[in-house]
Amino acid sequence: MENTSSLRELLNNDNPERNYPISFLGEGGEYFGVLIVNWLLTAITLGIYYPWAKARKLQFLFSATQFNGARFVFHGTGNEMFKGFIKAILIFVVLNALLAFFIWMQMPIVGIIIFYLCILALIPIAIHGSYKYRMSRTSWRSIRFGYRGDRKELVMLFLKNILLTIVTLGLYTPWLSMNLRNYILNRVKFGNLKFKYTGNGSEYFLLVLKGYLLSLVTLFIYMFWFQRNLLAYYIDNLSIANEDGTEVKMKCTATGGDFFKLLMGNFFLLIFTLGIGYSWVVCRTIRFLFSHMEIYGNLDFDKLIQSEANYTDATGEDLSDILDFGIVV
Amino acid sequence: MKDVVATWYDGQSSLPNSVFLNLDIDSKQMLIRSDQQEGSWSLENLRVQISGKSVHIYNKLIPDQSIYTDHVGFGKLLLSHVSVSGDTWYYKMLHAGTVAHISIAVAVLGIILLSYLFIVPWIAERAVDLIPDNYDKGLGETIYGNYIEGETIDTTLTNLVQSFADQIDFGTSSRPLITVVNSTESNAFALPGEHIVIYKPILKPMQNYPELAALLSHEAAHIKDRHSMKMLCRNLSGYILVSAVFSDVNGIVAVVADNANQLRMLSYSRAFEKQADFDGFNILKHNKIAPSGMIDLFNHLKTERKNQTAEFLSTHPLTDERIKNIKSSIKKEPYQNLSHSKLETVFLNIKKTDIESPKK
Repeated sequence: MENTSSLRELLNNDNPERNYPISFLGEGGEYFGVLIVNWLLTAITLGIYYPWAKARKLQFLFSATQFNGARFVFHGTGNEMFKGFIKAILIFVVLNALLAFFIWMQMPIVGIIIFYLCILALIPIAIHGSYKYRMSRTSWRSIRFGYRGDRKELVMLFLKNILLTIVTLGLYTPWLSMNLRNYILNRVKFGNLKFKYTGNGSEYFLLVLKGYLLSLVTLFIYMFWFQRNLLAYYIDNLSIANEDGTEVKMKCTATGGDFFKLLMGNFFLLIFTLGIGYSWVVCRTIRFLFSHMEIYGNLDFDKLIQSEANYTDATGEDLSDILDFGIVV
Repeated sequence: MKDVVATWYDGQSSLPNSVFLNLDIDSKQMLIRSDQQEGSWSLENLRVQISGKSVHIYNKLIPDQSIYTDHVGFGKLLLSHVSVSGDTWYYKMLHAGTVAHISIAVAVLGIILLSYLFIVPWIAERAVDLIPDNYDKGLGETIYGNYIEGETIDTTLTNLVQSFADQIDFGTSSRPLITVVNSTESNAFALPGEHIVIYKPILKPMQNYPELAALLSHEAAHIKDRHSMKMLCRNLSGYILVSAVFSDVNGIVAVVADNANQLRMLSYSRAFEKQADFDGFNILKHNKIAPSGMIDLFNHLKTERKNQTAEFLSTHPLTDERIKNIKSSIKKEPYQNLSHSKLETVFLNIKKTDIESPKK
C-alpha cells in the first residue's frame, strides 16, 4: 500500500493517498456507569425510561468513537424515541385488533395470514425508518449523516426478495442480504459524501457455503474464521466517495485468530463476572472492530459540506426494537 | 479561570476551528474566542452533552453548530450553570463514582434476588388459589392421555389397587384414579387433578397393606396440595423474572440464570416431597392405618435405589432423612390404628397376582 500511495503522490500532489485513524476510546468502567444508571432508572420507572436509556447508551458509544481526530455524536433524544415508541406500540395494537376482528368474524386463517403479511411488510418499513432516524441524528464535526432511500422501493425490494427466499427454502438468503445491503448502504450520505457498497449475492453465497461446510468439517473451529470473513466482506466492500472523484476505501485487518481471542475472551469475561463484565465486553468488541479497520484514500475530510436535513421521527427505530429481528444491514 | 482549548464547527462545513472557551458567570455567557473574532453563547440556550471524556456543547438557537472539548471539568462547570436542564440530575448520578455505581448494582440485584426468593413464590401461590380445581383435572387428563399412550396398563392390578384406594378417605375433592403400568423401574407419581400412576415393581417388595396405603397417601397428598400446579406457577414466574431481568443482558448469562432457577426448582420440589410425606402421614392417621407403613415403604425404596444422588441434585429428600422425619411425627402425634380387614383382603389379592417385572 505504501508503494502505491507514494506513486499516487507523485502523480497527483493535490490528492495524496493517506490513511485516516478510527478508534474507540470508551472504557468498560465508564460504560458500566452509563448502563447501571440506565438500569436503575428503567427498573424504577417499570420500563418507561427505556427510550431515554437507549439514547444515553447510543450517545456514549458514538461519542467514544473517534474518526480522523474528531468524535461522532448521537443527537437522538429520549423524548423523540419515546414518541416513536408510543407510535410503534399503537401500530401493534391496531394489528392485534385486526386479528381479533377476523377471529370474531370466524375467519382466523384469513386473519393470521393478513397479520403476518403486515408484520412482514413492517420489517422493511422499520429498517427504513430506523436508518433515516439514526443517520440524521448522527454527526461528525457537526456534519450530519443521512439516508435517502425510498420507503416504497425498499418495501417492494424486500417483499420480492423474501418471497424468493421462502420459495427457495432459504437458499436465496445471501442474495436477500446483499440486495438489501446494496440498496440501503448506497443511499447513505455523510454530508456531501456518498457511501458505496458493492456486495454480490453469488460471492456471498459461496462465502457462507464455504463457512458452513468448513465449520462442520473442523467441528466448528472454523467458525471464528467464518465470522472474520463475514465481517471482512462487509468492510472491504464499503467505500465513501466524493463528487470530485476522491474517495476512501476500507479494509478489515483482523484474522480468524484475532476473532478467536476476542470471542473466547468475551465469553470468559461474561461467565466469570456473572454478566457484570458486559460493559467491558461491549467496549472491547467495538475497540477490536475499529482497531482492525483500515481507512485510506485521498479524500479531504476538512471540506465536507452540510447537506442532510434533520429527521426526528423515531417510529422505525422503535419498531425495529419491538420486532427485534437482528438483521444487520 | 484559565481558557479552555476547544474546537468549533460552524455546521456548514467540517472544517475545524480552534477556539478558547471561558465562562462569565455574571453575564451568564459562555465566551468563545478565536484568533480572528470573539463571541458568546448565552448559558440559557446551551445544551451540554458529556459522554466519557468528551464534551459537546450546542446552542439551541443555532442547532447545527457545535463546540467540542475534552475538558470534562469545564463541561461539568457549564452544566451546573445551565439554568433549565433536566439533565443535571442524570449527570449527578452518572458521575457519582464507581463505588456508588457498584452499590446501586448490588442494591438492584439484591431487590431482584429478594423478589425472586420471596415475592415471586408468594404471588405464584396466590395465583394457584385463583385457578379453579377443574383446571388441574383438565391438565392432568391431557398429560395422562399423552403419557399412557406409550405404556402398557396392567388391568387386573389397576382394578385391585383402585378398590384398595376406594377404602381410604384421602380428603381429596374426587377419588384418586389409579393406573398400574408395566415397567422395569420402581416408581409412582401423581398428576394434577386425580390420576395416580404406579409402576408395577414398586408393589413387589411390599409386605403389608399399610405400606401400600402409605404410598397412595403420599401421592394423594400431592394432588390434594396441588403441588404440580404450584410447581408450574412457580417455575413459570421464576422463568419470566429470569428472562425479564437477564435476557436483555445477553444469552450466556440468561442460560446461567435459567440453570440456577432449575436448581432452585429441585430444592423446591424436595420441599413438596417433605410436605407430601407429612400430609400422607396425616391421611394414614385420619384413616387409622398404621403409619409404620411409611417407614416400610421408605426402607424398601432405599434398597431399591442404592445409588443415591447427592441431596443437592435430587428431587426427593434422602430416604434416611424421610424415615427420621416420619419417626419423629409418629412420636409427636398421638394416633390410633385399627385393623382393616377389607384393605387386608384386597392387599393379599394384589400380592397373589404375578408382579414379576416383565423381562426386557
